[in-house]
Amino acid sequence: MRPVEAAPERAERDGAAVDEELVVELAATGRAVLVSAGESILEALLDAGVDVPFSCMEGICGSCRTTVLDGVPRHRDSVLTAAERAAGDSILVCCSGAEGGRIVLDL
Amino acid sequence: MLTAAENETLTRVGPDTPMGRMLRRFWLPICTAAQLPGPDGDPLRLRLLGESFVVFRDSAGRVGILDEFCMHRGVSLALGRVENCGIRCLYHGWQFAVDGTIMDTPNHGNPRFRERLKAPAFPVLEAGGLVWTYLGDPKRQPPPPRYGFMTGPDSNRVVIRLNTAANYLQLYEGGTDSSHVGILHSNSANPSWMFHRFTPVEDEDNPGALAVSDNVPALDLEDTAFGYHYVAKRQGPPERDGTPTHSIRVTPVLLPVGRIIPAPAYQFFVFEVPQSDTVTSTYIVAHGERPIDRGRILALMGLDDPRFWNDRDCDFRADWSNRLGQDRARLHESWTGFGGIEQEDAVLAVSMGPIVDRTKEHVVAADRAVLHLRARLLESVRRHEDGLDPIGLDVIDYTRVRSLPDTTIPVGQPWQALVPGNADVPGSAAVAG
Repeated sequence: MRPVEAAPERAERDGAAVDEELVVELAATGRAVLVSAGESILEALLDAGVDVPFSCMEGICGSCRTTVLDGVPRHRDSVLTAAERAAGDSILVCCSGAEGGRIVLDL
Repeated sequence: MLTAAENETLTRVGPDTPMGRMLRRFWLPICTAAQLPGPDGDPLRLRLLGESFVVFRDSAGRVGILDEFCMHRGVSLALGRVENCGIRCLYHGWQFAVDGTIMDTPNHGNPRFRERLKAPAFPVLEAGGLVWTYLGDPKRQPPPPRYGFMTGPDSNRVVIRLNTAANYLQLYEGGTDSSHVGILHSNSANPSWMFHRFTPVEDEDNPGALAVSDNVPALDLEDTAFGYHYVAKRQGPPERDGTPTHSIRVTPVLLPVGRIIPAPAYQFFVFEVPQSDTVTSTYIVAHGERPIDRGRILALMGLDDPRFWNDRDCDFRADWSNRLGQDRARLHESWTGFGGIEQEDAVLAVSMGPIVDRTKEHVVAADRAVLHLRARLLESVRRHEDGLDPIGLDVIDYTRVRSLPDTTIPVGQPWQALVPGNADVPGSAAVAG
């Protein structure tokens, strides 16, 4: 049994958004979606009409888990295990961001 | 008879079945308007095509049809509070409007969640004393159907819902089987049967009334855009000059679940709507050009007996603990030991078991219209699985489709001329089967 990770503090959850501007590339269509600082990847995708499953919007339920094809996620969820975080091949788009301002998703 | 595979195709109606997919292309009744009498009344927990729904009337009188189970964590909304223009789950107080809008989530403060998501909700048509819905792909939602009973004064219409523990096809087949009318419904069709003589029933309200005694009717069928119609021809009395006649009775079969049964004064629209593979809601809408008495229709149907049926839960009660309610002490004067047309039809459907094994039957020529019902349904399912529209999908206006009560015509005279609205109903080329 893996240790239960502490839930992020309230202030951190309320800031379920990227710290700096970010481009999300969608592999299926080749589209690029701009995520502004202070916005979440999920909201930017939904606003762009991309159908992504989601529920809690705070990184606790796992509904929005999406496969990462390129780029390095900056994880802020409380769902992925340490090994999954280190693998870097999936991301909870409701609250996490990316290093280097770019990430490619299997969408 | 059918193959086991054909019987499966015809009788299984869940979301992942060929018949279930075909039926989901149509508007279907889910309950009666009378079951939702007023704003903020008790919600209904209903089944349709193997799925579960909660149906309620909100504070403004609008009807909502939602998934039964709360989208949060699955508690039944049928226990919910109907208030303030929505239904509220007891568990955490989430409240939903009739269109699925999330109005309130007391344990989740994020307004973006409520704005971004909706509870699964289904379109509603309240018409003709029925509440209709459409469970299929929203992008392919057809216009709602129009029937004659949807207009005119409410007093000209009687609406009955009857939930029976039998697959829908057992009940539907009974409605396309003219030869059983003069036998099973002997007490309605020929009340002097026990004296071995025929007395025609002079009753304008009675769909079981037959003008003549002939239990081997010749059947003639014709495909139409809505499915097919058929005529049962019984030997009639010769005309004065000796010309032989037929007493004819015409029944239109409105795929995928409807038919119209004739009585002299009224048309009986009947819809056999599957709640699941093994439970059917039968909707009977009797309608005519003059006021109609509900108590009289319930008595003719045998639904005035509270042991079998009541208007509140609409469930037809019959089980083998008391031989389905049969009164054998009355068999000398009652052909069946039951009473009334629908009571008799429903009891027989239950007696067959939940889904009858049609590989074992021995059908005869008098069953032609039943066989054609199966053939048309299977054809419609095949068309749909092949990417075409199912039979009847593009028929929207049924207002000119008629059944014909017993009518005497000279032998050889075309019967179709007496129901002209049936053949030229606007619709597709689905006629050519």
